[in-house]
This record gives sequence, structure tokens and C-alpha cells, in this order.
Amino acid sequence: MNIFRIIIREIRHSKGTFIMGVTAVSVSVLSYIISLSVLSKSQMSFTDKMKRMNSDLIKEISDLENGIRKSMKGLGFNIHIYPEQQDLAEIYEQGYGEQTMPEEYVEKLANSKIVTVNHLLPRLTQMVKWAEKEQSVLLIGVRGEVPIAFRGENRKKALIDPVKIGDIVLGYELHNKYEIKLGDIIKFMGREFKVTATHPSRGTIDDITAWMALSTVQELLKKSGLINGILALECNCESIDRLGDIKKEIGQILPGTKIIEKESKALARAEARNKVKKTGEKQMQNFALSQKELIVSQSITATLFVLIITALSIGWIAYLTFSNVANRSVEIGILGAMGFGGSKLILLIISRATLMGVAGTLCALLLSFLAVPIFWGEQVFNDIFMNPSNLFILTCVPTLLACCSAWIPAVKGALKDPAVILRNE
Amino acid sequence: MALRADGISKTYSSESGVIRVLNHINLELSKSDFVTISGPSGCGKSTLLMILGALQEPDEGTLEYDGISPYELNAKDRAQFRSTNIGFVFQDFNLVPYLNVRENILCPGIVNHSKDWGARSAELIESLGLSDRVDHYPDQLSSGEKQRTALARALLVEPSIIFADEPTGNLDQSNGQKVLEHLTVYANNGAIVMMATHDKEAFNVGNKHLQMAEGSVLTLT
Repeated sequence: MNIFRIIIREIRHSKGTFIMGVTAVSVSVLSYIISLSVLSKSQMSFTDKMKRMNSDLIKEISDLENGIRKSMKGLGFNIHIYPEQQDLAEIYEQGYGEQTMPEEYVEKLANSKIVTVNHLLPRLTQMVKWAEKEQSVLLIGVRGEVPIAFRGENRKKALIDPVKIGDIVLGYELHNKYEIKLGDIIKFMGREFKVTATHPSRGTIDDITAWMALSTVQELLKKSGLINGILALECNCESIDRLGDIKKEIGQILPGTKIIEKESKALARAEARNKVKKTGEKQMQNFALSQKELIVSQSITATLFVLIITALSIGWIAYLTFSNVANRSVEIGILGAMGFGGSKLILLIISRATLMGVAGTLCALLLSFLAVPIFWGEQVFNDIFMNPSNLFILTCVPTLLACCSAWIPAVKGALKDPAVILRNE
Repeated sequence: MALRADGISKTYSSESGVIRVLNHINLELSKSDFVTISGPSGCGKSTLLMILGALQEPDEGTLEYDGISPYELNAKDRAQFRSTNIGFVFQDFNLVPYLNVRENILCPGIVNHSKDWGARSAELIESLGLSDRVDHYPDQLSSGEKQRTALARALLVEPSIIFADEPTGNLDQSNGQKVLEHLTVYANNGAIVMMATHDKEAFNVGNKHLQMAEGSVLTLT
């Protein structure tokens, strides 16, 4: 006969209340496990979604970059080649540069094995006074396209038709204002020219522009054999840093020039790609933020839920222990009279609650081992049960809490005067 | 072992005021004294047994067992003192309901480790006629069997003193007689037995008779 036999016999005797205590502990532990499972699943789902979104974004950007490369390859983009000493501010200000370079530069470029440029258009541009009409005119001398020699038969079709010597093409303001029609012969800077084309209104400086043959303009402006710019159209380059590649190639053929990029569709697409990337990243950030807020909110709710259930369980076990002590007062009194000390009586009472904690925990763990993999999957199961701190909380804390909840009633019961109990009896 | 009580007094506070239950009780008992105590209800018989049994401290007076004053011991030592030297038998038996006869009898052995009580319990079970009831639980026993179980439990550790508070109060004559016989034998073997009773026949069993009224000893013969 020993004290543990008494404990086991007493539990067998009052198994109803013992089972109620075990149930309370089980519910408490299960609520904790369920909360952990839900949170773990949310976290995993969030991580998966973020990974998926990230890979979608990477794919989208990659697709876009490929598209840009293709469009650059197909559409190309345009650059201006100017003399090295040309102040670019002047170009941005008046649309052309005063500095000139030899016309043979364009020949040199055309005769080189340049691969990044498809069309070369030399030009001489200057703002002049149309003395006969007292009108400012942007005079552009164009030569038409200079074919790139090494490509031979494979060269691309010319983009711009040249203006023949003796012909003139007028912008909208010039022909409209002075009622000039196609085929009219007009006098310009002391020479006669046949109007071979007139442009509709473009709302740009083109409206006061007159196009002539390059050699004619060189004569009119007394800049024989000189040009002040080469327009290179449909430049090819698959890399994103295409301007760098072109500069490198042209720089090797024409040292002493400077290159600027003309706005192009390809550039707009590249900008679009950056926008897509930024928007995608922003969306991901917003999603991550909202998900984190959701998880924090879920965590708070779960914590409150577990705390409430645990508090109720503690209260319930304390109540059951109080009730148990009250029912066993005579027994406690007689054991006290026999010489059971306070510590033995506390042990006798508190062991019951401890066993409630152990049995409740075991039941909850057993149920969880079956249910968690089914409802939340193996990964959630591993997250919960392979985590040492969780294991400690799950195995030790419920029993400790059960002990603590029974402590006060146990001490009160054990400290009751056996004489008072037996006399009242 | 000898018991000596000097000037034991005890008062209880209740709603109706302070009640003096015991009033300067002096007693001196020695081996083989079988003291029967009689008196009207509320005269302090049970309280006297509790105080002499080291269960309830008196307000005044001293108690000594062979020079040991149990109320000067701390709670743990006093419990140990009781487990070794004192046995109690109550009118309502006070058996532990979820332990069977054998286990109830062996209960005091849990806190008294001086020897293995198996043989002693078997001897008591035999002598008290409980052999065919050892595995029965209190709710399966008759009153007489319950009281004999309670008596066996009190006698298990062979205490020097037995306090019995109306042990025959709930028994028929035959069972009462058996209990009294066992107590007499136990006293004759050198222990002190103090028994409170309302039963005149039981009162006459002892070799010393104490008559109480209103917390005082009227006569001790």
C-alpha cells in the first residue's frame, strides 16, 4: 500500500469528474494545436503566394524584355551623330547644331562593316531668312539614304526618298501661308525651285521647314562638302544598353563624333517594362503587407482564443479540485488524524490534477497526430511537432497549468484542521 | 507509555458567543488503562479525545506523553507522532470509500514505515473476522464490519493509545460487544484506551470511568 495506490483508486472511484478535467485539458491543448495549425497554414499559403507572384513577375518581366529585344531588333531606334565639339544644348534649343563635319564621314560609316545601324541620312540644317517672303525657314539639305556598302543585295530598303536638285519640299505653313501648290516654281534665296511635295500640318517645326538636295543647301549656305548631322535610323541592338553598344561601334569608325538617341517606340517599351516591374513589385509589397497584417490579426485572435480556453480550463480544474476536496473532507480529516502530513495530503490532491494534465495532454496529442496531417497536411504537422519549443509547451505546460490550478484548493484542503472536520462529521 | 494532562481547557466561538467546552481537565493515565468517558451530549467528551489525541491544541493546559509534549512539536512532527503512537476509532467509521477492507486497514502504514504491515494486517483481519471481506469496499459492508475494519485500521501500527469516540454507537449489541472485547484485549496488552460512550454497558467495560458534565470531570473512578 502506498500513496499512489490511493491516488489511482480515488481516480477510479470518481472517474466522471476526472474525465471532465481530462477533457478540459484536452480542449485547451487542442485549441492551441488548432491555432498553431491555422497560423502555420496561413504562413505557408502566404509564402507560396509570394513565391508564385514573384515567379510570375519575373516571367512577365522576362517576357517583356524578350519582347523589347525583339521589337528593338524589328523596329530599331534612331540616333543622331554630331561633330564632337557640338554643344548639345544648342541642338536641344534650336533643333540643329551650328558645328559641321565632313560629308565623307557618312561615306566612311557606310563603307564600314557596321552592324548596329540600318539607314544613314546625312543632312545640313540651318535656320535662314526667305528673303523673298520675309519668312524664317528651317532649311534642311538631305541627300537621301546612303547605302551601307558591305550588305550588298541584302541591304534594307531605303526609308526616305531624296529630294532632287532643283526641287523643294515645303512644310505646311510655308505652302499654306503663301498659297503655293505642287508644281509651282518658287524663288528661294535667289534661286528657282520646283515644289515637288507639300506636307500637311504637323504642329511642329516641320511646318516652317523646307527640304532640298544636300548639295544645293551646301551651295546656298556656302558649306560645301559639310554636313552638321547624320540621322541613323533603325539601329539594331538586342541588348538593353543598345546606345552604349552603338556608341562603341560608331566611335571606332568615326572618332570625333558624339551620338544622342532620338525618342523611339523601343525606348517607350523599355520604359513600359520598368513600369510593369515597378507596378508588380509594388503590388507584391502591398500584398505582403496586407497578408502580414492578416497574419498578425489571426495571431492575436488565436492567442485570445487559446488564452480564453486555457483560462476556462484552469478555472474548471480548480473548481473540480475544490469540489473534490470538499467531497473528500472526511477522508482528508481521517488521513490527517492517522498522521498524514500537509505535504502528503497536498500530493494526494494535486496528483489527481497532475494526472488530469498528463492524460488530457496525451489525448489531445493523440487526436492531433491523427487530425493535423489530415486537415492541414504533413508540413504543418512537422512545423508544430518537430519544433522543440512547441513540444515543450505541448507536453509540459498543460500539466504544469493543471497543477497550478489545483494548487490553491489542494493547499486549502490539506491545511484544514482534521479535528474540525471530524468534529463536524 | 503514560499520558499526563494538566489544566486542559478549550473554548469555541460560535454565533451565540464563546462556549467553554473543557474546563481545567487533569488526567494521568498509564499502561493498560481502559478509560470510559460518559456524559451528556456537548459535555466535551469528543473534544477531550481530540486534544488528548494530539489533533486539536487546547487553549490552556499541557499534555505530555512520556515527557513528549505533542503541541510543542511542529505540524509535521506532530503528524508523525500521531502516526506512531495514536489510533482513532469513530462512531461513523470514517473509512476511505474507494479503498477495500485490506487497503483501509493498511492506510496508516503509508505514513508509518517502521515495518512491513502485511502480516499485522492479516492477523487483524483474521482476529476481527474480516477474512471473507478483505476485497470488499465500505459500501458493501455491514455497520459491524465497517467498525471492525476501522478498529483494525486503528490497531495496525500498534499504537500506545487508542481513542474511540462512541465506537459502538451505530452497532447492534453483538457487534458492539465484539468491538469492546477487542479494545479490552488491546488495553490488557499494555496500551491505553480512552473511549467516549453513551452506552451504560460499554461504560462499565473500562477499568477507569470518567464522568463529565459541562466540560469538567465530575468523577474519575
